[in-house]
Amino acid sequence: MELNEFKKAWQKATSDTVQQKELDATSINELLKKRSKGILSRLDRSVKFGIWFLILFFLFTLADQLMPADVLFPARWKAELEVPMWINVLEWFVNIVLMLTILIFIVRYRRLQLQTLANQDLKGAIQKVLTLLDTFKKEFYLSVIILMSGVGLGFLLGATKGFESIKISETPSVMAIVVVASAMLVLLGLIIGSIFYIFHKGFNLLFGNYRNQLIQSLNELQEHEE
Amino acid sequence: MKEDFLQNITQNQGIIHKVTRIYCDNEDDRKDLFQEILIQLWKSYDKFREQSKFSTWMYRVAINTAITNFKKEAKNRRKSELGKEIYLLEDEVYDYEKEEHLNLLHEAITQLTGIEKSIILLYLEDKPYEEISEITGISQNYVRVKMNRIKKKLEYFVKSRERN
Repeated sequence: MELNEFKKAWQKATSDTVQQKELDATSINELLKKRSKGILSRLDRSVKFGIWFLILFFLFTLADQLMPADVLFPARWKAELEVPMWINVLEWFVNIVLMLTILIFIVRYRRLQLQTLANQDLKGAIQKVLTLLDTFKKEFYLSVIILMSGVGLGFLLGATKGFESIKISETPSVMAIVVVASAMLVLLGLIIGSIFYIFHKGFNLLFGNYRNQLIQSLNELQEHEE
Repeated sequence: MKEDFLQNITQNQGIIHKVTRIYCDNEDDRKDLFQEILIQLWKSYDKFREQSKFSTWMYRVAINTAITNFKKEAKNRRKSELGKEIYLLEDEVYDYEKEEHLNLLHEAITQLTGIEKSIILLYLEDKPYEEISEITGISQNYVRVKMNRIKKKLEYFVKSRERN
C-alpha cells in the first residue's frame, strides 16, 4: 500500500471528523474557562504555590525571631537559659538562605516566560526549565542541609545547656550519660530526618514529577538528533 | 482580542481535531487534548505576531502541546489497545477499502514516536517540507531524512500485517 492511498483515506476521514465535531465560538469559549492540565501549566501552579510557601515561611520567621515566646507570653514563659546571640544570628542566616533560594528560583522562572517560549521553541524551553530546576534542586537541598545543621546545632546546644543547668547532687555515671546522650542523638536524628523528609517530599510533589515528565518530552524531541 | 481569537479558532479548529486524532487513541484523551491545546493557544495568542501564517502557528502550538502531553497517551496506550477504535467513514456509498486503509494507517501511526507523528500528520495534510520544517523546528534536510525513515517504518508495518 502506498502512502498516497493513506493520504487520501486520511483526508477523507478527517474532513468527516471536522464536520461532525465542529464547535461554535460559544462552546470554544466555554472550554477556555476550564483549568489547564498540561505539564507546563501545572509547573506554573507549583511555582505559585512556592510563592505562597515563601510568604508563609517569611511570616513565620518574622514571628519566631521578633516575637519569641518570652515576649508573647511573659507570664507563662520564664526563660532560665540565656540563648546565645550567635544562635539567633545562625537562625536568621539559615532562614534567609532558604528564602533567598526560593526567591531566586521564582525570579529566574518568571524571567524565563516558559509558556511563551515553549510555543516558539519547545525543545529550548524544556532544556532551559530543566537546567533551572536542576540548579534549584541543588541549591534547595544545600539550603535544607544548612537549615538542618542549624536545627541540629540549636538542639545540641539546648540539650547541653539544659544538662548543665540541672543541679544534681551526685555526678551521674558514665552509663547514664551514654544512655541520655544516645537518646538525645536518636531524637535529634528523628527530628532532622522528619524535617528533611517533609522538604524532600514537598520538592518532589511540586517539581520532581514534572521534571521527570519534561525529561521524557525532551528525549522525545531529541530523538531526531540521533 | 478574544472575539478575534475565537473567530480564528472556530475557522481553523480542524487543525486541533487532526492533531488530537494523530496523538490520541481514544475519545476521552482527544477531548482532554483538544481543550489543552485551546488553552495553550489562548495563552500565547498575544505573542502571535503574524510573522507566520495563523495555521502554521496553530500547528506549532498544537503539536508542542501534544508532545508535552504525550506521556498521558503512552500511559493509556495499553488500555486503548484493548478496545481499539475502528475508524468509520461517513460515505453514502460505504468504502471498505478506504476504511481498511484508515485502520491500517491508525495502527501504523501508533508505532511512531511523538515527533514522527507530527511529521506524518503534516505530510498527510500535504504541507511542503518548508512549512513542516517551520512548524517542527527541524531543518528541511532532516525532515526529508525523517520522512524516509517513517515511510520505511510504515512499509515494514504494512508488509508484516499483510504477511499475517
